[in-house]
Amino acid sequence: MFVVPNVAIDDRLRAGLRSPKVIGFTVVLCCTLLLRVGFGATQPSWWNFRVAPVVDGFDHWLSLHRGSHWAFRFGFGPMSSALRNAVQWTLNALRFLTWPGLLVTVALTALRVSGARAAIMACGCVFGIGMLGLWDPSLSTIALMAVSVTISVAVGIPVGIYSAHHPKFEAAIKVVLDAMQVMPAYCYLLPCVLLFSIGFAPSVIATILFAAPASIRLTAHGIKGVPPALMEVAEAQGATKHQTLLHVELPVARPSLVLGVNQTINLALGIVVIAALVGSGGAGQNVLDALQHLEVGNAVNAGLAIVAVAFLFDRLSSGRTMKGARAFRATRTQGRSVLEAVSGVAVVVSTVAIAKLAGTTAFPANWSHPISGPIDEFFAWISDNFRTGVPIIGGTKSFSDAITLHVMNPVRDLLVQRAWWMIVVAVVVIAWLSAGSRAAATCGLALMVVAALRASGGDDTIWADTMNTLSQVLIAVTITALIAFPIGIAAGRSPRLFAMLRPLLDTAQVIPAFVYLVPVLGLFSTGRVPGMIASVVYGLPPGIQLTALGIRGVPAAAIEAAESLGCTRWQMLKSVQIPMAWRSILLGLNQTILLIFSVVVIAGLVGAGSLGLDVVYGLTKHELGLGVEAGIAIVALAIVLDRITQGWANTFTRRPAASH
Amino acid sequence: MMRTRQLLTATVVFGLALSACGSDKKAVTPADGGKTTTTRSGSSAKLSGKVTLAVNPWDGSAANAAVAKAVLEANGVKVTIKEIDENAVWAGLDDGSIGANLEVWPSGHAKDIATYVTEKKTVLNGGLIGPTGHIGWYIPKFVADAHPEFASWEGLKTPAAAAYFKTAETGGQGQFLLGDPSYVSFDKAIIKNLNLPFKVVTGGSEASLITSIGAAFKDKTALLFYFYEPQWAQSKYELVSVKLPAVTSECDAARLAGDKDAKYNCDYPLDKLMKAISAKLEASNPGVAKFLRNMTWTATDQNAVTTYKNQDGMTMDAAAKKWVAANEAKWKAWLG
Amino acid sequence: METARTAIECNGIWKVFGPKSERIVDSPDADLPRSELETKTGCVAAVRDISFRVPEGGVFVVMGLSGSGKSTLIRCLSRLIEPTAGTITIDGQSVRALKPAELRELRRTKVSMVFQHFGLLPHRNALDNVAFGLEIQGRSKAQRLQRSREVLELVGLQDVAESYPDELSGGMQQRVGLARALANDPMILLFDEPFSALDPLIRREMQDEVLRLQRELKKTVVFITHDLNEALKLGDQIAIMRDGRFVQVASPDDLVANPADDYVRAFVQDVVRSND
Ligand SMILES: Nc1ncnc2c1ncn2[C@@H]1O[C@H](COP(=O)(O)OP(=O)(O)O)[C@@H](O)[C@H]1O
Ligand SMILES: [Mg+2]
Repeated sequence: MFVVPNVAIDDRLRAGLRSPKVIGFTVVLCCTLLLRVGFGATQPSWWNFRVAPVVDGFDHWLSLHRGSHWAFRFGFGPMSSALRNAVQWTLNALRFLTWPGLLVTVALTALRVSGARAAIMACGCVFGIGMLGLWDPSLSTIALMAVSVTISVAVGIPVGIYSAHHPKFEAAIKVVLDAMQVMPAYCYLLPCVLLFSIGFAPSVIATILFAAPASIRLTAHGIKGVPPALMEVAEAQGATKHQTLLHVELPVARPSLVLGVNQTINLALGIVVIAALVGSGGAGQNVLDALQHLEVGNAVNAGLAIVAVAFLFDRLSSGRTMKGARAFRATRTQGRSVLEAVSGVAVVVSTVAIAKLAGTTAFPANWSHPISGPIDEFFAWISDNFRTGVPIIGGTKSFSDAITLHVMNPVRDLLVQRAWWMIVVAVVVIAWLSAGSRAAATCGLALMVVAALRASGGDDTIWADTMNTLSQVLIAVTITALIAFPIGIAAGRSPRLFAMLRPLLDTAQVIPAFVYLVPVLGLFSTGRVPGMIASVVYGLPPGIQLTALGIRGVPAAAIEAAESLGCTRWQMLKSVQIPMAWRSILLGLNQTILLIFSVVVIAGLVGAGSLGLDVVYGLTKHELGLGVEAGIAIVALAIVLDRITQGWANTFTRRPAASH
Repeated sequence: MMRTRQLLTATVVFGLALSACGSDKKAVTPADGGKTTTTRSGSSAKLSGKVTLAVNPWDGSAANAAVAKAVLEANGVKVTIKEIDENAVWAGLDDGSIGANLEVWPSGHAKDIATYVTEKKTVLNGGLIGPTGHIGWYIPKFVADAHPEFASWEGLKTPAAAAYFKTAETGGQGQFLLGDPSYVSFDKAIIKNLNLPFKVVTGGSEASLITSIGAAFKDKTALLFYFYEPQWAQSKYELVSVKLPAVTSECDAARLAGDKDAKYNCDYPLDKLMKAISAKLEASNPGVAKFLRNMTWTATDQNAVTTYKNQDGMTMDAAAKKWVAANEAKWKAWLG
Repeated sequence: METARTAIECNGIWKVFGPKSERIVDSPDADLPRSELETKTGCVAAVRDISFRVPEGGVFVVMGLSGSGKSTLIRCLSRLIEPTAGTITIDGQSVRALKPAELRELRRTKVSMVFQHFGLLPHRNALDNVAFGLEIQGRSKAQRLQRSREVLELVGLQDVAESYPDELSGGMQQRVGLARALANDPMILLFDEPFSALDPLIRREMQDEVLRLQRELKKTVVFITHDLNEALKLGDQIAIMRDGRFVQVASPDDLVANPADDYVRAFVQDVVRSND
């Protein structure tokens, strides 16, 4: 259910990264060299955008004029209360349904939309939430999610359609969308508080900012993927633009649209946890409390409730779309659906009535069995037995020390201690070789921007922190690739293994990254290692899944041909499957890198320091300027990583030109 | 611009400290003067209406709010508790969606206080809550027992100290572990100015700091770290505070200026924990606002409540009720 | 036939793809060979100076090798591709002068097209695919269903009306495509290599079907193919196209008897031989 990235990237491929803009490349190179010659090894002092002071001043102004300025009285103020009310009313409605009513509603909806299996699954989720003892907080999470996802989709689909029809607009917002998705969700919250006060409103806004890009991207992707032949048919029939959109583009792009909704849901869940920071409560509050008190069991317990909410939304939304060609079909026969709807409502109403009469509302407390206890014991046992004193390998602590000393420090020093201009030149050259002159120019510019940032107050300069973060990402990605690649290949070749791994991978990808941090923290000493391990753990599932899907995507005809030539299994893998899947594997790598990057940034919270820490420090200590500068650096770094890895994938597209 | 703002901040925090030391009953001018002076005299004042109290993510904050809630609800006020980050809470106080925050550590919120209390006047200084916060440097007791010299900054100056506290992250230097980066911290400046062979490593959160403390106790390894009280882990682990040079007036000035020049070289000052009350609450429900301003208790009281919760496994509400039942005289005074 | 009304008349149609294409048409560059033109100006002249006339009820076949500009030409007729120069008259109306709404009206009522790859909407069943054009016109549901059923019956698909495209064979899909074009009851049918994707047996069947319909319904047809047998079988007039130009326009017999040049002769020989 999270496999979408593949498609999202395809868009970018089309953007035509390879137009010969050698001039731009040369200019950047010359500038860098000039700067080097003219200003020495450190960044020249005039190369400074003074972002931080401006932002800090604005922050102060906002604090003072919030409430009195017209923009707040007529804009943000009413908007906040509208959002707050929307969530509150949804929550009230959910509570009013009572738990049996909710169960029946969910069951019937899932049955109608996605079939019997989904309905059973959805009911399981509802029970799961109750059994974990988190009924009420989860309802609040569901309400928050429902409003945020609805708005995200309501905004995302039109914007996606517009950008599919207007390539210039699409190119313009692409950077913004990329930026919105690599910024840690945390970054949105506090600025949103400045504008929308506290509680549900800023949470909804932050969630939309974080999650709507997925909907925009996949809508645009779907619309652009409508075969031109079908568009031509509509035109030849004399359809207006509006009719074409309604009757051709949207129905044909529907699978992609629904995929967009799914991804929006997943992303939204990630932010719902930390939305508790600004007073929106919910199951996220339980995760945060667990983090605060280091209760692994409670963290996992609440994490599972969030996963259950995710699956619930998924079963209710994805419907039949994933099932191949039949997906395209809208279900028909109006008379029957009216009948179904009426009887469904009748069943729900009577259930609610009975429940009210019986006096049941929330899930019965004595039915719930939180699983925190056993998990706590399990982790206590692990950290008692594996932290130290394990024969030969020594234990997690010495492992962590060894990694820090022999891997992380050398790589970090390698990057941090180079002069900034050397890094810029190196990155530009790498980008040029792997992705062409245009990507090289983009990467060069991005790094030059980072070099111009000057906020103080963090642990180090922004530049050094950027290099430190880069070193962590590189190591985490290498480790992830080394593990994910073989497992993914094995899963790609064995349908049974794939079927076994699949639910695991799906679940792992909806657990908010925060939840991973809690147990990792207990096992490894403070520093960059726990963050790196959490990011590897987070990056593995998509890495494995995308590799496996790449291998599975190799056309049967090619396999058959190779078999007929008498290939051994190994030869098949080496000469057919891997080369043909290579492009999807690399695109998967691109996606994995961005995910890992986002966790490395969050890991700033647990001792990984560098950019992630700068952001948190800046946002919480009223050094909004620092936070914003670190945010810019994060986006710049993400752009560099993205362009270069996409370049690799593109290079491989060129060889087997007939991949379509 | 920056200069004036820092000066402003400095005066405000001084002013706050002074006014707090003086009298709790010092009148705070509400936004719209007249209305608030309605006659609510004597202990028979009837409370009514509703109020939202913030709880920041630590037990002390929750204990204050739970006790206030227990007393207020017994007196007919509907109380909503809102769990929220200590920084985000200011926006809520500003627009009145939060009535009061009963435990503010002023050292970490100089800017908020300058903006909202002094300049914008939408948040009122509610006086002190009672307990005094103290930030400092700590080592585990078993370390202090084995090496008493490390319990003082002079002892940490030696290469032996660096070698003793070093980790994979710090290379040749000793590690000084910091927790949540949003907490007030002068450790880098202190280390630099006192010439200590240490490097600051930021754990990133209070949780990671406490995990590291737990691990140090379990493995009996060395750890020098930033910590504070009141804090529930203080009762779980035996910690020894490291002696730092006494606070000087230069340090005070540097601290209030945000220590932009990294001149700080003293111990942390005591943080008199204060209450912040929304001007909107003062205007709409002066009775409750007055009650909250009156509310003070001691660190012992607060610890009693958190201990009921953490060691006796009660909910915070039950713990608060237990305290309320046993300390009638104390909270009766708040109603007056 | 010669006395029939003119259904389509084209004069000097050009289509040049590329930057500043309108400048190419009357310049000397227009006569350059394809690759030279492309290297010199970056433009591709897909259709060059094409003129022809199709009487009402006539079948005009255009044939040529792939890339010779046939698809571009047929799309110029209803301005699915905007011609660079020339005039097009359909049923007395000057097509190039039509405003967008008038052009839509033309496509809805007078001109329908059948495509090489069928172009069926995957989310609609056969019946709804046929009804698509009528829906666009805003006909009532009852009307369009009735009409669609009639047309489906006409092409012999009444039994699979509820099936979806992916459940139909290629031949059946193209019958749906044909029915969709007929549903509007247009005056003119445009076919762009409609049967190239079908296997030979089905193809012959479909050709017969077109002939039958054309006889029954008296439609004017422009038919693109790269298969000379098909052209000879269907066409009243056959145009041989090469590099964007008509090399020869003639009746089938004439074409076989008097090929205008070696290019046409090569085609025709091929056919004569395969007919042996
Ligand atoms: N949109 C376009 N842009 C540029 N060149 C085009 C475009 N469409 C077609 N062409 C070129 O015009 C020529 C004629 O194409 P087409 O009409 O499709 O040929 P046919 O249908 O005879 O195979 C080809 O060389 C093709 O490459
Ligand atoms: Mg063609």
